[in-house]
Amino acid sequence: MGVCAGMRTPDAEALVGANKLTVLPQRPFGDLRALKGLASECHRFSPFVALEDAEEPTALMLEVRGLAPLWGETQQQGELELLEAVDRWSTERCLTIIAAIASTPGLAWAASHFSEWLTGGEYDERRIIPSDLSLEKSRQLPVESLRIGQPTTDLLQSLGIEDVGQLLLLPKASLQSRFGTELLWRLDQLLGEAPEPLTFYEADEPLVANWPFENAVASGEVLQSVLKRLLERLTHSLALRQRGALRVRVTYSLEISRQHPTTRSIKIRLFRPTVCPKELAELADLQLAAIHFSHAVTSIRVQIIDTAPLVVRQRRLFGDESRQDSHELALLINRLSSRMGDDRVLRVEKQSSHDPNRCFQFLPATEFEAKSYRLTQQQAERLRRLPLAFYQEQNQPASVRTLSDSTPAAVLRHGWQKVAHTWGPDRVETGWWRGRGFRRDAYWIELTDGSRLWLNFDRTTREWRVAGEFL
Amino acid sequence: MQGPSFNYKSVRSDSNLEQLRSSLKLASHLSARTDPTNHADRFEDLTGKLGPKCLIDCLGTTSGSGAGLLGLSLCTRAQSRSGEFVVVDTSGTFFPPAAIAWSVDARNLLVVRPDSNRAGIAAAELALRSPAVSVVWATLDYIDPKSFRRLLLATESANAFGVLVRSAAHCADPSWADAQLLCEPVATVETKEDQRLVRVTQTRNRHGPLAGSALISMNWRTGEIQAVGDQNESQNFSKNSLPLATRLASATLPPRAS
Repeated sequence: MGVCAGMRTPDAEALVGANKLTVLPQRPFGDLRALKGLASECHRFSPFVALEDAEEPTALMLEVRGLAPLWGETQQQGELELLEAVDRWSTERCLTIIAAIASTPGLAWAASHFSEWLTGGEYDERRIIPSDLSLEKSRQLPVESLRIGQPTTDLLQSLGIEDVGQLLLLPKASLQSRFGTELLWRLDQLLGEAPEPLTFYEADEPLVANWPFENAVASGEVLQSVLKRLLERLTHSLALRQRGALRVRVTYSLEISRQHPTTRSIKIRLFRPTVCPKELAELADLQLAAIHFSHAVTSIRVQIIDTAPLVVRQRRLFGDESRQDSHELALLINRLSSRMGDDRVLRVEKQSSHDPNRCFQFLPATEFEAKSYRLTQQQAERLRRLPLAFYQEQNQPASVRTLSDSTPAAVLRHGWQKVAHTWGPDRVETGWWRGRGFRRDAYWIELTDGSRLWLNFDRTTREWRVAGEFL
Repeated sequence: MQGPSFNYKSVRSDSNLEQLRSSLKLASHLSARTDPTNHADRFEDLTGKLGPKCLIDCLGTTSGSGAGLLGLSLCTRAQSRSGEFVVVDTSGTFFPPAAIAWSVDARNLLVVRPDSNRAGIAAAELALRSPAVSVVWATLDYIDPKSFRRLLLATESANAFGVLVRSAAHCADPSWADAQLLCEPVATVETKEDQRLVRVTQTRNRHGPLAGSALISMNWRTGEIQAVGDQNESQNFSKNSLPLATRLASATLPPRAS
């Protein structure tokens, strides 16, 4: 439909239609994990795969020097075949990936992101830049392709410098003094005059253990015992590598029919890496307690999906309470996540917004450490005024009778109840740049029986809603 | 095993209510007159008692009853420096910024959002049993006696302080909490915007006689939750600021062996 990364919400909404766009908060950690997963799969194209050297990487760098003969007879043909193979692989996964081959990582990154700036040849030819044409092609690229900060880009554009060619005409010494060291450093990396070290991503060897039963088993004790054995086997291999399991998937194959095998899977996610099979088995049991197997089990498969280096600490003579607490906290988060699901055990992170819906976000406790949430005195006052029970997106529609000045006079709650006191309105209009603005008048009301409610009047839909209750 | 109980239904009749109010008024006057101790010292004494291995059941009659906020206040007072503050949010409506503004430390805040009341009870039990947890604040619905007993055992087996926030509809249900508090909003003629008044009545106490009731003022501007005089005296807010809710929750609890 034309929606792509980096697009503003109103633009995306204009493409898909009004009220048809679902907007979800960005999850950088999830993105990084997905990118690592892609990096792992990209080892089919090259033994050396690295993540882009950025705070929030969005690109993969593959070292393909010397690989062209494996894909075609000539260098050019091989590289074209390789790019086509990458395209086919990404299409199979419903991904839009733009790949480019160049002599330096900087130029490959620029060619993949700004291929429309390059002239000559077909699309595929534009994505492959031979080393002898590197300088010529670099000149055609825009200054944004240098991976420099937005302020420097804006400054260059305000001076009329749009592409790298114009930049190369300027003396290098003046570039450094006028625009800082980053610009020159990135320019040198683009042209291959400065090194760009890559940290290659090493995919974990898949750790999988299977246990096929001769006859289908329905005994819970047997299944538990086998699971523990499989976990012991896998954690032993992990311990030898000084790594611990972070995510584990256990799959049970059920005996329904030979033609249509059915599986039930559970996923264990851990707060800290572990090689303790007992702990993993306990977490699996917590989830299995809520699952009913309709048929006997024919096989169990355990796969370690994600691992992390184990942290080795020296034992202290007189113990260490904080370390013990930290271990206990990890156990608690693991148990709660296994029982409830990791998206239901959460930490809170502050967000900068006047909209109460957006002034914080929940993050999975298995992935994020708790952070401090500093409030000024004024902010604390404002937040204390809000109710503890807050109906975020699912505000309850309310029937409200109003006075001539639009303040609430009675509310329908178990019959019409008269409003004894009203405070407000507190008007907030924000988020217009997201396309779906937030315009509401908030009223704090006290009914005759002393109960208090937080009512919101949506100025866009002209509807009253109970936005929260004072627990 | 259950302590003296408060017959909620019978108090519905106006005459009994009036009788109770007058006796409470008298009791609060006597309390204020015979208590010469410094407020700060008393506060420390009371919060000292409000420690681990204690389970409080806070019941709220309606929206604005203050049961949740009172429970939150008890939790922040009982929380030790280290240890997690676990919120079991069964209704999925918990608004963390408001709780943080009421002195909950976000660095120790762990929010669990179970999808059912049963899962909420299980989460509360897991949290109460964990040595890493300092306090548990859980919004729950009906708790069957067996689960309630398990919650109490979990509280006693570890070092956590637990507050269960529930509807007053469960007032007549069996309770294994150390103390049960019933919170009702109080309507006043001259209500101030920045505070609300809540009458807190101890309806159950497993360890002794009932402690009576108190009028609690919750002020969002100052962030103070404190007891004030009787309802009639609430207009001038006597500075006899006793954290009576704290006392109601724990005054008669015998110390347990750790």
